Amino acid sequence: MKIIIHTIFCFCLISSLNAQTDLLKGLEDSIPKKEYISSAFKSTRVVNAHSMEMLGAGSMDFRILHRFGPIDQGFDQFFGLDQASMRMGFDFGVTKDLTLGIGRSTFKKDVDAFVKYRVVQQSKGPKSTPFSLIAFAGLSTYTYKNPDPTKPFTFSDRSAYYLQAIIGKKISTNFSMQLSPTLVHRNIVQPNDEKDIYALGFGVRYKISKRMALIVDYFYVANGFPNTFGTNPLSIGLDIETGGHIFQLNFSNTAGMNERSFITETVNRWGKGEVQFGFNLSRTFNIRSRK
Amino acid sequence: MKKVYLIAIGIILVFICNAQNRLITKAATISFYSKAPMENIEATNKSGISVIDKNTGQLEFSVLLKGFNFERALMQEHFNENYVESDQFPKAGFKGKITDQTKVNFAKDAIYNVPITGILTLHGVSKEITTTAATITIRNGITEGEAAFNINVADFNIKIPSIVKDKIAKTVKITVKATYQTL
Repeated sequence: MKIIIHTIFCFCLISSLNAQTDLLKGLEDSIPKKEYISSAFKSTRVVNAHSMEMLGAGSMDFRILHRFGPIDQGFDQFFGLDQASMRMGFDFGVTKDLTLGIGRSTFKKDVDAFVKYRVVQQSKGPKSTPFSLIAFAGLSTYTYKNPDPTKPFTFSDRSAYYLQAIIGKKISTNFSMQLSPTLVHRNIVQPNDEKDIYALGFGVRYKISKRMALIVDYFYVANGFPNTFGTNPLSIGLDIETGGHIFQLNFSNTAGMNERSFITETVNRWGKGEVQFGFNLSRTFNIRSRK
Repeated sequence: MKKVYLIAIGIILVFICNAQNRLITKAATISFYSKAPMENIEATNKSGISVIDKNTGQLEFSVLLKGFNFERALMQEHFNENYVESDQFPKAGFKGKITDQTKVNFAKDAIYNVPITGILTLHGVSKEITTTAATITIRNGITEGEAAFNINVADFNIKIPSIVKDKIAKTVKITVKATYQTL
């Protein structure tokens, strides 16, 4: 009998000790742990290309993009800063998985609009997906006056369409990358050019501090050459986040600010020093409460 | 053989007794609020888990930082990415004690003022917190807990960059509300 009492006493002691140290033990594990991965990129763009990141529901992103002239022009053109072209745009986060956007670029008075939908968001835990998949479609149309009134210059002639899938993964807290197969269809092209251009985009983000990240944005254009003078756009930049603003400073061989423009109209070459400076400024406003 | 059975029964009894002395919840509401000239920052998490040991007055809380909901998506992102760094430190927790738990009779309907002392762990830093603004309410035999306390974000090694220093308050008020069930 004594033994029993002793044993019980011992267990009482052990379990009360246990209780003191770990009241929560066993409880925490029972919580389902599926968790969506967010903040793979600081902004919804890598530099030019759309990133796997979406705008939050109810947010509006006001974006001002500037691209300057080639740096190699030297002091005479103040390293290209005298020649600015810009795009002003508004993106709307309709839901956390759907973003709509519209913008206008000064170059060729190009108006563009897009729909971006996240089909799958990267997650971890039970029933998770190791990557994000985003479907993207857009339209660009030149709105400058018809240079030759004797010939028609219809909406269709002015327009190009693009379709893109973005497959991205946040590999670690600091490192994210994405692939984006893209099709750009132009309704009118030069005789020796292709109407349908296929390209594969690569995007990388590496965080160097809490508020800064290096970004690289590259497109391999599969059938743009050799019939044209086109080159593959490569942009290297720095994301700087300051509260509600994100600055994306970049050096690039393209001045294009939408998919038609930077995938099919890039002609400068890094190798020849034909590099230009540019920046994206993004300011997010809350226009609809999430509650 | 009889002995063995008795021992086993004894052990089971002990565990059951222990379990009955615990109050738990998986839906504690934990919110924080900071007032600042530019914008108030406010967020709520409704899935905090908590346990109170009725015998000893020990209590614990644990909450996933990613579960805090902000009115603005961007604020939520900044909270996780830049301030509490929830990838690195996913949870915040509190381990403490009701200073005078003998005062509380969990079987009798009443409102008890219960000063609490304990260790708050957030962003990898543990710090002692004491509050007198805490109550336990027994209503129809159901235990509800409420507490509020202030923390200095600097104490938890959470840095506010100089560019937004005037926009963000250095002190944050944390409020906790929980309705417990007997385990």
